[in-house]
Amino acid sequence: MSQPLIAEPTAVENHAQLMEGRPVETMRAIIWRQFRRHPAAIAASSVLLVIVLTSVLAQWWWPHDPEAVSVMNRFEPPSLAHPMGTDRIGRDTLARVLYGGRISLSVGLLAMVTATLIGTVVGGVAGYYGGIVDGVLMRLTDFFLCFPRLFILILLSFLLRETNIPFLQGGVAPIVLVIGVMSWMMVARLVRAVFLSIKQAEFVTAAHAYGASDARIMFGHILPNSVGPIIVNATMGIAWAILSESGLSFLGYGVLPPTPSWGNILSDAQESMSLYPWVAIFPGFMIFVTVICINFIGDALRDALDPYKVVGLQRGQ
Amino acid sequence: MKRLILVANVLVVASMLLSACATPTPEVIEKVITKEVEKIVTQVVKETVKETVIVEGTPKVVEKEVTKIVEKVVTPTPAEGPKGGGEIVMADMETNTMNPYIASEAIARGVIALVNRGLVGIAPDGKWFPAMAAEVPTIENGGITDDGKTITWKLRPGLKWSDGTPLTSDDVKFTWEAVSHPESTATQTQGFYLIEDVETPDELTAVVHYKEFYVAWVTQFALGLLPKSAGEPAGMGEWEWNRTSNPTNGPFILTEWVASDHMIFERNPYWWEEGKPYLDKIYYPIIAELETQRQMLLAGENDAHHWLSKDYIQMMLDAGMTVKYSSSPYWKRIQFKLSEFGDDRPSPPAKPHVILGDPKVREALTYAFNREEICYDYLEPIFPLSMFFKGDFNCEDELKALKPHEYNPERSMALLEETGWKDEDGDGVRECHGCMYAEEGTPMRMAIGGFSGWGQEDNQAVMVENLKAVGVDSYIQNVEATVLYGTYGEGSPARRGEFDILYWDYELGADPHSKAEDFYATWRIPNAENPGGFNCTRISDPQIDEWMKIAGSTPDVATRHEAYCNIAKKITTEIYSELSLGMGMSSNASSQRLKGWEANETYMPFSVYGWDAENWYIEE
Amino acid sequence: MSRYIIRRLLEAIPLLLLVSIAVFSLLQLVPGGPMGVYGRNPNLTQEGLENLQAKLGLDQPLHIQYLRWLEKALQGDFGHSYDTRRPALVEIGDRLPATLLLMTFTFVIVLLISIPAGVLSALKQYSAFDMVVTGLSFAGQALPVFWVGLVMMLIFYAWLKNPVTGKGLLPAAGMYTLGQPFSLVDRIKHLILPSATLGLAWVSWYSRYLRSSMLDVIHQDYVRTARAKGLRERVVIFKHALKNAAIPLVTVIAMDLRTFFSGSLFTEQIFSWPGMGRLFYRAAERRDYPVLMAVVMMTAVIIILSNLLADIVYAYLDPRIRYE
Repeated sequence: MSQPLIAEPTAVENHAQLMEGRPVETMRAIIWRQFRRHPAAIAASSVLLVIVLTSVLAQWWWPHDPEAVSVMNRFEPPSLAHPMGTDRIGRDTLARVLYGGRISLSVGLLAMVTATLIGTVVGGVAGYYGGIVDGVLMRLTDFFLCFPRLFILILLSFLLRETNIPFLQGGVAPIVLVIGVMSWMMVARLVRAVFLSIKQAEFVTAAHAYGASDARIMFGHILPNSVGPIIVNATMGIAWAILSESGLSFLGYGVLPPTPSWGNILSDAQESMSLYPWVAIFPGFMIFVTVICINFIGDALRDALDPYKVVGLQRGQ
Repeated sequence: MKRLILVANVLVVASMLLSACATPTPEVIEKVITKEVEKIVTQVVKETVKETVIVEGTPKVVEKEVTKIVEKVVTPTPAEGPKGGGEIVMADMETNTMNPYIASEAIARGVIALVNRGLVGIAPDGKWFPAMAAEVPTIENGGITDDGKTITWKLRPGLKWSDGTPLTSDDVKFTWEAVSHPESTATQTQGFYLIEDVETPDELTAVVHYKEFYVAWVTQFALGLLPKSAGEPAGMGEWEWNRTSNPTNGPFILTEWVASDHMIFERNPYWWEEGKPYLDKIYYPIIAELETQRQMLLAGENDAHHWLSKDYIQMMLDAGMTVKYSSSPYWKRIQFKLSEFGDDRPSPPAKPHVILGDPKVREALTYAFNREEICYDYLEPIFPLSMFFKGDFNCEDELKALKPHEYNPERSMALLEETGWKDEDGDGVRECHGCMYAEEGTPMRMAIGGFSGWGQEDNQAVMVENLKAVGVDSYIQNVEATVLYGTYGEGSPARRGEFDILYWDYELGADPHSKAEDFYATWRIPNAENPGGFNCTRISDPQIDEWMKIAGSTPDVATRHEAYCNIAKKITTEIYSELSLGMGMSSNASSQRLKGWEANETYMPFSVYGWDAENWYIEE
Repeated sequence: MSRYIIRRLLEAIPLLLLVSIAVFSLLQLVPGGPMGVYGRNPNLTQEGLENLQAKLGLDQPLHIQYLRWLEKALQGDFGHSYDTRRPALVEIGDRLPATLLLMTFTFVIVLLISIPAGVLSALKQYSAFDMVVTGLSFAGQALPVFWVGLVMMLIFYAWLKNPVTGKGLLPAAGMYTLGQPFSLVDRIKHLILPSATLGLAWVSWYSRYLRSSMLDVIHQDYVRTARAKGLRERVVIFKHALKNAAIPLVTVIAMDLRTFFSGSLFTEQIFSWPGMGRLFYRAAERRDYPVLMAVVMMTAVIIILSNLLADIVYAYLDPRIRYE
């Protein structure tokens, strides 16, 4: 028997369920139920939610200004007034971590989404059509891989600075663009590899036979079966984007101070890490926790979206 | 009777005289016995000891002992005496070359000082001392003519390169030929193009003829000497010598250099000072990260650390390290653009800056900045009011008496009110209501330009706060350091005038003139035709230009002093185009066992940490 | 297949040409230039600067500069570094062996750890072993490399001391101890910290990828079929499942091969490893175009070749994959 398509309940199976008195479940319900079986992921989602909410709502609940300089109070250890201590020029680290969270999280998310979208489309089309299309797209991928990321970043920062839009001026857009535009290649190759394998499968031939369009086959049939590596890559991609931003800040090119981001707080702190370790511990800890949570969620999602698992569930396993 | 007494007296005297003549005087024959004693001194001391023995009736033979102390050259053996040799480890960053005239960075010049020395050197107190030269030329000793255009340098006798060949005035001439050659890729060329010719009447004398008076003539060959065996002037960029420094004239020679990994220096047996250098070897691991260097120092694997920042001084002292300071040459300033943002011309003919074009605004802003806080990372900062404050050109006291540039935000706000910048909409930022150049309602918002990295943004963040407190909105707009300090053609915003407020620092040379011109003279305003110069604020004042020309045309210190002080006064109290923030102290640390070194970074590029390497020794 | 390979190799040539033009243009568009390093030098004169620019050929129009570069590059001459004035290839040659050493050493250990970890973790999904491995791999990816490096240095060099010598337990810098004769133990000790720093994230990534794709594969019908046929578990896993599960891993490894050449900046910076990462960063700071172009072009060749290699390996691993 050929491999099932994405396990949409067929009319027959729905009917069987109705007859047995079980409610017909939608895909979404199945996935959600599968997800809930991972307690770690549930916990991780809650933690992540807390982090996101506290960052986004920071100005309403935390009184300190992340840019308020107070040189006399530099490098104060954690205290009630400053639970995470103060930094090199006396700014409250907790405030900076909260506001920085907004930037780091949005950089991570946006960059990952950009990279995943571009990469999936490019890789999918290349893998599916093969031949010349594959050749051209893969050479394009190779081309982008050869570019030194650093220079693209410097150039983009320079070009975008000329525009006077405040959000762009803060330096976030160049980072997102650079990380996104320079990471899609990995996704593309991953997706292409999967498409190359799967496109020979029988269910694809069957779909061709009954006249499904290429787009429907690619995105309706093959893609859902390759969702595993994409999700894994996407969750790691967020982590990687946040860490990349941190690395670029270390080199002096990331989000430009005084705008805080976890990355640049960490890179500023590493200079005095052996003297005042708390300055580096807290932002590092935030990155650590966020990335772990995202990974747990991604792992659970991967399991939840695994079509074989879903099918197995339907069949009572 | 009287005649009888007289005869008796005469007889007595005569008999006395006769007896005196009759008694033979003892004959003294001097026999000189010379004893040679070896002593390792550079002075010659003579001692004589006399002893006489009188023998009856016979000529005496007296032995006169004369002790002559003879100079003898002895190779210093490290085990002897209180000053010990041995090996040290000095972990530091990478240099790009060992050729002092191509080297671009401070680190390079420090390392080069271990192996190569020039005719003179500069001490921490700012006095030039002779190194390869026998003495510093002065008008009194005839080294420099009255018009200042001919300098006679005399080398010490007996100097040798590290391969044993003699170091002569030909090498001085060769240094000039190589550095001034247009294809040599030399970058430390100040003054070399002004030399007409170098004569070498004898092996120890080099006579330098300048085309025009060069105010900093004493620095001409201070960076180092190039041996004529190094190669052809045109090919200086590709000399093997740039990597090997073989032969060289410094206290150490470079025996190994593994790119990016380490260098090893060993004692130069032909170093001119007897008994020095004390150390046998210097290991130089190339360590790029300051934290690693610090940890190595604390762990005992590093003996010298040169980039000690203020935060770590106490930690080093607590760990028992030796810490020494010298005044750093980096002069931090805040500068205001006088003409419009982005316009590279002065005003006039360009339009004046909409906010900063009004001198009262500039004056007001100079009261808004809290220097202590902005320079929080400076150890004991010095707050000079102008660059003309060192040594002979010090006019700090006169300037201070005029009481400029205190931190006084109330005064600042009062002045700003008078200039027509008022905050009438209550948002905390002033707008133009009857100000001099801007349109009605323009917010008072400016960009603070600078370079990223090295903690600059933190200093700028303090500036932003200071300005916010007086109602001025500002934001930081940094570029990379190499871009900011780069050329006009390569897009430096400072040189192109693309800034409102500029925050940066600059190294002051040993003699202020060329930098003074660069900063304040009209002819040094960078533009496309004339891209050199650093007059980024676009000061164009005929009086200042006049004084500048006077100061540059004479060697007379008093005249120059007066001219510079006038310039400083005008800028500080009338034009307000810049606010001097400070010069830090730079601190270096070493392990306890390394002694004999002094911090000397005041007069870069000539004073660098390797300047006294021959005096370093180990004492456990 | 061989036709495919030849075709790919031929395609590489115009690709490399395009890359060289694009990167050259990019370098020119970016603000700043090679003269920037001399800007803070109080001894620089305008005349000296202009002489330098003329000698380096920087006063020529851009397309001439590019063509001259191309002409020499095709003959194997990548010019002289603007910074040290030595040939760019020599600068690279000085540092490449160090990078290769560190990368190869780390890579081998990474594979030895991540493959068994990923496979076993997938086979024993939700077991304690799986939880630990997954948790560690999450943690390993969650920390920035430079931070890990600094912490490792602080722990193993600053705090923990070798009881015999009193020095740090593991050395913090360089490839070997200066002034001592060659010692294999010494070399390995110097490799440990940088390798651990570099390898931590690597191991995490690889084991995650492998685990995920193993999970994808072992639920598939053909694996069940193989088991049903009565084949031993080990054969099922290694001959059938792992081959297919390896495809994503092969993709990732191919992408990472370029780092064998380009090095890792943070690790090299913190542990003062004299490698390509530092060379590239230094050249980037100073806009040392000859060195930058040489490094980029060499990396480009490696990228193209490694992707080709990956494609060939795919076809070997999964017979369904066919190239026209």
